[in-house]
Formats: sequence, structure tokens, C-alpha cells
Amino acid sequence: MALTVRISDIQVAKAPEILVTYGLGSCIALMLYDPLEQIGGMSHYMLPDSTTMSRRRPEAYADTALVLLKTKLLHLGGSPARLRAKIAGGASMFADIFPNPALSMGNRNIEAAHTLLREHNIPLMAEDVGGIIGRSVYFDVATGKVRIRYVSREETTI
Amino acid sequence: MRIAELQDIQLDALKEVANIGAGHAATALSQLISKQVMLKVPSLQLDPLENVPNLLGSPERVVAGVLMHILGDITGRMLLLFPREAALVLTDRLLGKEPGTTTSFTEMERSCISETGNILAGSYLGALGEFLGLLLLPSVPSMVLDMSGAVLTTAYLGFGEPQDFVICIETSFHFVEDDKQLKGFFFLIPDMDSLEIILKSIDVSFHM
Repeated sequence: MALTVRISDIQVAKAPEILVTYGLGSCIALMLYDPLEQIGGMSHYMLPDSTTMSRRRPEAYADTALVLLKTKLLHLGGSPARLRAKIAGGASMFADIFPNPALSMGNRNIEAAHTLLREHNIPLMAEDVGGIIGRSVYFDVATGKVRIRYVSREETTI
Repeated sequence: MRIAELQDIQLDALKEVANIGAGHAATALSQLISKQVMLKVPSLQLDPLENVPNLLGSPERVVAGVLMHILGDITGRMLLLFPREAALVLTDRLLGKEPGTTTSFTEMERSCISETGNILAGSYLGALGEFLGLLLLPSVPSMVLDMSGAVLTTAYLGFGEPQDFVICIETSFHFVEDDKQLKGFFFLIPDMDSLEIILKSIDVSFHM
């Protein structure tokens, strides 16, 4: 079983579902899970901040996406105190022609996830972020394990 | 005026401009490899950003992508995409090798694809600039080989909040000598302010 999470999309599910998103570049797959209830959810957000950019649906931005994802998990029976997080993505492809690589959208998206998870008191258990490579992400909500596939590298699990 | 409101007639005009650009690019490429290459633009379309990763089939499909900044009177980026197999065929042609010789991408193949991207971008931007009365130039190219979804979204999103729509220019290559065809995709990604400038210039061109 696998449920696809598209760009600017959020899906939550109970075990034994696998949540998948394909071809992540500068976007982030933000995953939250409650290990006791064996439920989890994934947000595929594009941009770091809805307060400086606001033309799109809330699923597109890190801050509003995290609130939505958390709310959906609580509705499904999750406990705010038990929530754990993992993130993947945030690549800086084409870095050699970025005016300032430190400010790439990939890096800003990673930074946003770190800041927001701290603010929401959700521990970040593991991450596979940055670099210049694309990722496909498979999230097993039963175990919280995340399998990540690449084009030119062996897959990893975090 | 917003990009979604572009009329068919204006899209047709842009397609004609792209075909002129393709003609210039064909001349440049033919000279480069001393064999006749013809380029055509069978379609030019507007696509919502969210649909773009699926344009080439699966967002996991491996593609060669060449990204360049647009410099001059407008700013933005151009992305040239070839499915991996097409990029290999193209490399054989450009390096004068037997078809099927190239099976992986080393420095030589990468620079070959980058150079093709730069020639195409220069030709398209030259034609578009002439039509709009603006000066448009491509920057040095940057090339990656990765999943189409990752390449496309990074090209659109990596540099700021993007437009809701992107302009996709399909480009077909025809190597006359052995009648071999292959297809690539060109994406025009103007920044917000620049899109306004392009649309106004098109509007003026239509009311002259």
C-alpha cells in the first residue's frame, strides 16, 4: 500500500500505510508521527514562509503546512506530546549559478523546518537534507522509518 | 493582464517567435557538428505549476537539465530538459560518435549538453527579444542529471516565489542525414515583474 503526496499536499494515515512523495528538489517532505498510535502524516511544501509570500494555498508554505499537518494528526487521535518529526529534501540543485547559495530555496526550506519544529516543541529524530540531489521519500507510518531513493546513489533509511 | 489570460492568438505568436528561435539554433548547431539539423516547435503551452512535474511522465524519470539565468531587460530563468535517453542520443550526434556509443555522462557529455542548452537559449532569447524589442541574454549554464520532478521544481521554486503558470516550449530535433528525431523541452520562467513586461510588450505588438 502506498499513498502519494503531491506538491503542496498533505496526507495523514494509520499503519500499515506508506506515504510516498516523488522527485523532491528544493521542496521538503516534512513527516510527523505518533509512535504509540502508529499514525503519521507527510507534508510536501514548496516555500518557507507564508507571511512574506501568500499567494498560494496554505499547504505550499512550511509554517501553515506544519499547523495543518499537526491538526490532522490530532484529529486522527495523535497526542501533541508524542509527536516526532523527520525531514528530507531541501536540495540546492544548480548551485553553481546561484547568486548566493546560502540563501537558496532549499536551504531556506530546511531552516524553516528546524525553526518551526523547535517552536512547536516537536523533536526532530532524523533528517536527510541539502546537497545537490533529488530524492523520493517513502514513509512507513507504523515505524516512523523513512526510506529515501536517489538517481545516482544507494538508497538510505533514516 | 495575467499569464492565464493570454489569448490563443498571443500564444500562437509566441510559438512563431519560438520557431524563429529554433531556426537560428538549428543553423548554429548544424555549423557546430557540420551536419544538417532541423529544429521545430510543435507546441507551446501554458501549464499550471503543480502539473509541471508530471509533464514528462513520472516525476522520477531521469532527465538532463540545463538552467540559465535570463539577463538584460527582463530577469528569470530558462530550463532545457532532455529525457536521459534523448540526451545520450544527442551527445553521440554532437560528438560525431556512432549512435549508441554514449551510455553515461562524464565531463565531456555534460559540457556537450550544456553547450546545446546555451545555443538554444541564446537563439530563443534573441528571437523573443527581437519580437518584444527587449535585450535578452542567457547566463552561463548549469547542468544536472536527476529526477524530472526535482529538476523542474528547483528551477521554478529555487530562486523565489514563482508564477502560477509556466511557458513550456516543446522542441523537436531532426537529424537529416539519418532521419533521426528526438525531443526536448524548454521552459521559460520569467520573474513576476518580468512577466508583466513581456505581456505588456506582446499587447503593444498586437495593437500596432
